Amino acid sequence: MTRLRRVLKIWGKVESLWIIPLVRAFKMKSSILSLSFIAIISVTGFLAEKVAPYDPKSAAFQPFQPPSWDHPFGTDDLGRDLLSRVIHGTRTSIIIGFSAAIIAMLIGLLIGIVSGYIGGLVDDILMRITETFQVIPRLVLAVVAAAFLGPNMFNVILIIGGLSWPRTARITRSITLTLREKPFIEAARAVGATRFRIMTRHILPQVLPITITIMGYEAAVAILIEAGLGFLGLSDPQLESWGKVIHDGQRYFLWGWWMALIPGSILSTLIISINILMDNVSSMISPAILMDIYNDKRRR
Amino acid sequence: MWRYLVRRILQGLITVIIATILMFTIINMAPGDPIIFLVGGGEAPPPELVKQLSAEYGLDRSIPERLLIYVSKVLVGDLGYSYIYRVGVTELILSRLPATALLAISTYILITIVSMLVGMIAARKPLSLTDRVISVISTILFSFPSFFIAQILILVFAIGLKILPSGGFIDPRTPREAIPIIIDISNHLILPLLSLTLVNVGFMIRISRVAISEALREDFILTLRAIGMAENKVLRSAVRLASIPILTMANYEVAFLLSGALLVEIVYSWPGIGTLLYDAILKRDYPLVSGIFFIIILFSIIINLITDLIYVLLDPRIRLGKRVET
Repeated sequence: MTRLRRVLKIWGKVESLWIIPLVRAFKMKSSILSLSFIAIISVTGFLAEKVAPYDPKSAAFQPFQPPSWDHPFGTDDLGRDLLSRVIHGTRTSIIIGFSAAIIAMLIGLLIGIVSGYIGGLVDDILMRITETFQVIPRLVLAVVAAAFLGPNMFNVILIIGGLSWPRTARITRSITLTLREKPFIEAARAVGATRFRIMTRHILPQVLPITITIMGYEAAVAILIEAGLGFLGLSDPQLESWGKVIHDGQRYFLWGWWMALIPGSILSTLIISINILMDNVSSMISPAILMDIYNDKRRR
Repeated sequence: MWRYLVRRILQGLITVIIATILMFTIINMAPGDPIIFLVGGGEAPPPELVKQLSAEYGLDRSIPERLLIYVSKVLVGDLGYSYIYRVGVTELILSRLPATALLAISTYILITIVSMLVGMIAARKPLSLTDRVISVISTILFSFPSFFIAQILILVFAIGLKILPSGGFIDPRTPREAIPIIIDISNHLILPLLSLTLVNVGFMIRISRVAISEALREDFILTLRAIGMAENKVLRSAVRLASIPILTMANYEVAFLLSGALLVEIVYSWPGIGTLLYDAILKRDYPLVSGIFFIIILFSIIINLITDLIYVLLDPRIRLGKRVET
């Protein structure tokens, strides 16, 4: 019985922090539209082998064919079917985007909560490091790291994830600072809860909804950075990715617009969808936070 | 005030040092001989060169010693030598800097003007149709990758309408006189400038909309309206108040503008740092890649410092010793 009551209590918390804002956000038309686009893109990407009409690596067709019924996206400089390449690239880009965003969220949460709750010298040091990472343009550092360490998928995920945490850390820290003074934290401290317990059991659940929203935005930026790296020629040679397709398209841009612009417009639509969805969700969680996210100085 | 400035400068120095340590870590974590990262890929370096560089960078010594050597080299501005171009890295980057600076500065000016104007229009009637349309357009704009917008503009204006050049900096057929050269360069500048502005302006429009609508909520605005001042004049004074946060944010954005410029430059083969970086990556010219990294970091820090300085001059609260940020 007590167990059931505890579950219900936790559910109540989950409902107020998560379910209600989400339900409200998902009632908006723009959210439904964006979410369905994201879903279609992800499903196509993950079922790439089944969906793609041709093998993305086989150069079996006449090169530089504009879009037609046989090749809706045309063919590229080597005579590969562009639609199949884009479909296979989707999976790589989405995996990179979301894994990097999750890594960034974990680092950001750790640094933000520790910095905000413990304070003092630890806070000072962590915030100086965070500021350094914010001053350096993310793309440039990612380019350097990928050029030196090798642009395989694993490295690219770690690099982008390792560079994308400052925004999460700053916002988590500022929320932690206000939470720290709240009576329920003081009560927990009075009962004798350890720092670790307070940080994981009391602060973490409160900051999580907002950090997950930021994670959505960071996933969008991560996908853009992957595309930027690929555009500069830094992509996994073994795998198709949007960045790589766009890079090839840019090299032969004057031979045919479709090779760069079709993958580019799909990429842009995905980013727009993620941003609109996240805007809706975060405005439901808290309009003030939305402003915080925009006002947080550095974006990319 | 002086204490504040000294602290900011120290902070900048710390950033340079952390960035250098980061670079050093990357070089040491990278697979393969560190010599490759001092010389660049391609053909194997001659043994004398390997010997000389090992001695210079202390490659046989312990890691902390090597870190010290590396940091001190970067701090005195020695960014290494590009064995592929056969020039010093610093020299090479400086030769490409003017083109990038021209692009970045003109974009900065255009973005500031456009975002203030559009922000003003949006803030005048919050939540009206105009406001919402502007907000949607700015979300869409900042979702676009910079190279994508650049490619679309080339397709429309250079390939489709054929009214502007599709790339380059200056036409070799242009007579070597001041006025034709200026006209030619501006012709080549229009598309890169437009692309970079479109990508970055969305974010700044949002910032200035918020800043101006906050300024409009101040008490003195109510007073101005009450004494019957024309709405346009009221708006103008709100914009003047909002311009401090807008300009600050615009300056902080310059670093990101630079990294967007790198990609846009490649689309237009604009002879700046972006195309240099692209070539460096293709040719595996590692000293050049890390040199560009340091130059961009240096610029970001300097711009941030200048911004802080301007802020101090504009906002008396900081001069009196209060901090701006938490």
